[in-house]
Amino acid sequence: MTSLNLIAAYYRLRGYASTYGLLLMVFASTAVVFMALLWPAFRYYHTASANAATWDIHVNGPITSLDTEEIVRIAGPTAQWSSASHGGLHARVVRNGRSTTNGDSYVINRVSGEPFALTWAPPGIVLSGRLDSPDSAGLDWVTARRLHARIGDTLVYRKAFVDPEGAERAFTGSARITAILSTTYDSRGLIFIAPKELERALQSTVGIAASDVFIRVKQPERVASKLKRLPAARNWGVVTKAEYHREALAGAEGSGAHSYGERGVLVAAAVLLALILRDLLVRISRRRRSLAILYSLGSRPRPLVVAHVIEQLVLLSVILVAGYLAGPRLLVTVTGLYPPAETLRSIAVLWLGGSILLVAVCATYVFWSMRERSLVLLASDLGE
Amino acid sequence: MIYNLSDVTLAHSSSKGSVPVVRDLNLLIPERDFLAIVGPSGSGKTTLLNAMAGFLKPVSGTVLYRDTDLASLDPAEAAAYRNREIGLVHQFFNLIDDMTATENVMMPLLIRGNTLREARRAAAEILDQLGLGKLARRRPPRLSGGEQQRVAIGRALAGRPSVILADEPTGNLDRATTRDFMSLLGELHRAEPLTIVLVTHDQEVAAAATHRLDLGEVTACQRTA
Repeated sequence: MTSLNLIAAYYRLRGYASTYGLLLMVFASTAVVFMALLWPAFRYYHTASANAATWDIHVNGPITSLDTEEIVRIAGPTAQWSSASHGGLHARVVRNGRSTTNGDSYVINRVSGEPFALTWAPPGIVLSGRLDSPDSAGLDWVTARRLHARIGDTLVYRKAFVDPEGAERAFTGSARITAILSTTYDSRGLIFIAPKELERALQSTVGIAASDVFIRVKQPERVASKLKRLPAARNWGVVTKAEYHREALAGAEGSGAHSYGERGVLVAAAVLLALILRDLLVRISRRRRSLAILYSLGSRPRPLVVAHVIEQLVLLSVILVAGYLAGPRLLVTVTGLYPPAETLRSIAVLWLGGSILLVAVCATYVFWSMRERSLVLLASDLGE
Repeated sequence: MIYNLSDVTLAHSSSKGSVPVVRDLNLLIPERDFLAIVGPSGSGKTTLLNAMAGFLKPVSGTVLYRDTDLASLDPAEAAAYRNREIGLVHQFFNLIDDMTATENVMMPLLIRGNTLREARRAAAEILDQLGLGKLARRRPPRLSGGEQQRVAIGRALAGRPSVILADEPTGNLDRATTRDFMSLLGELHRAEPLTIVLVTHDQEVAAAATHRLDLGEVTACQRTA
């Protein structure tokens, strides 16, 4: 009666079938745990860190190109800044972009229904190609795939906006795609255009150049007070990061409340998790019953434990490998969120932690039921 | 004697402490006996069988199997005893659902150390003998209750044990299937050098045995062959 005999008996026959089922269940529950519990925290962490890194002062209002120049002058030569423009009726300004500029202007927009938005690409997110000429443009990889666009293709873009009189206006331009870019999860649909081309495009418009300017500066309070004294500032809101945080903490929206859609996803994920865990529990109970039967047939506890150590190691290995390979893709498919390339490592680490945690729970349960006393109780209960 | 129980008291453990269910039982079971243990619910039938299977140690007294005190066996010896000396049959069959009928019957032999080929050949012979040759590749959920119980008997016989301990083996079968099963058990008892100890609350089933012990009528019982 060796361990190998039992393993042969249990796994060379039909034991594999239930192992596959267990594996699938553990994998699925790991995925749901990840989605439901870890992802929101992960997303909040990345949003918060990006937000913290992006700006110190936010200027919001009808800001012309001349205003922008004045703002840049006040901010000083060492300041980093960006301007953002509403890109049409349904567009929304994204404040969480990873923007590390050196004084170049850029516009961050999220397009919803509009064909394109414009921005300058932060150098750290270029996947391939270079943004090195006045005519060059970078396309985020999601949009590139959707448009079947490749490096070398010419991009024709149209930018819509609303002027101070409320009239809808637009400018158009063209650029050659010279780079494919990674994007943050909430900047899908962005098109990144080199600064000179952007400048030309903005100059072709009349009136408003941007609705938001974000500035990174060492003394935000001092710069903000100077900005507030500008004549045009009576139509603007000038908010420092500290003020923003105070307002955010005071308001309900600042507490990190989720949208209804996100809440729905969380509820669905929680229900799914409950169903999967229930099925997992049923499968483990069936497995315990099988072990009790083997024990009643004369198997020793130690081979049973050896068999289950092997099973848990196989489970863990497969989940880790499959999770590392398929996890991020699964995340994109299920949630529609597009993590930037540099966050995939974080996802892998989270997946690793979640898998180990879940397998440890299962292993502990199995080992607990493998105690001699438990087996005796289980086996003697078979007749009940 | 294959079993010799002397002044055996057995108890259930619960959160409120130990509750005696069998008190000072004396019982001698000779080789090749067919004993039916009957009694109402709670009289300790299954508890007694668990003690004879080595799952449960008596609070007092001794359970001897061929002069070996089962309480003195270490876990390895107890496992060997269950694997080589006894075959267990339960009311709910307790087959492993993931395995075919053949594979279920193979299990005691594989645990014993037989090769897959040897175990498969022995299991096929037993299933043929029990009239289950055509169902050998089916899994338990696709077998009827009677067929599952025959597979369970096949598994109990696979290791060629000296004793079959059957706990309410007909409790989940209809009347016709019960008669078939008891007929099979009777044939096996006549053909094989087997001692059968069967727990039942069914008087008709108990009547098929050569001896009976009613735990409901005795608080202390002494019986010899």
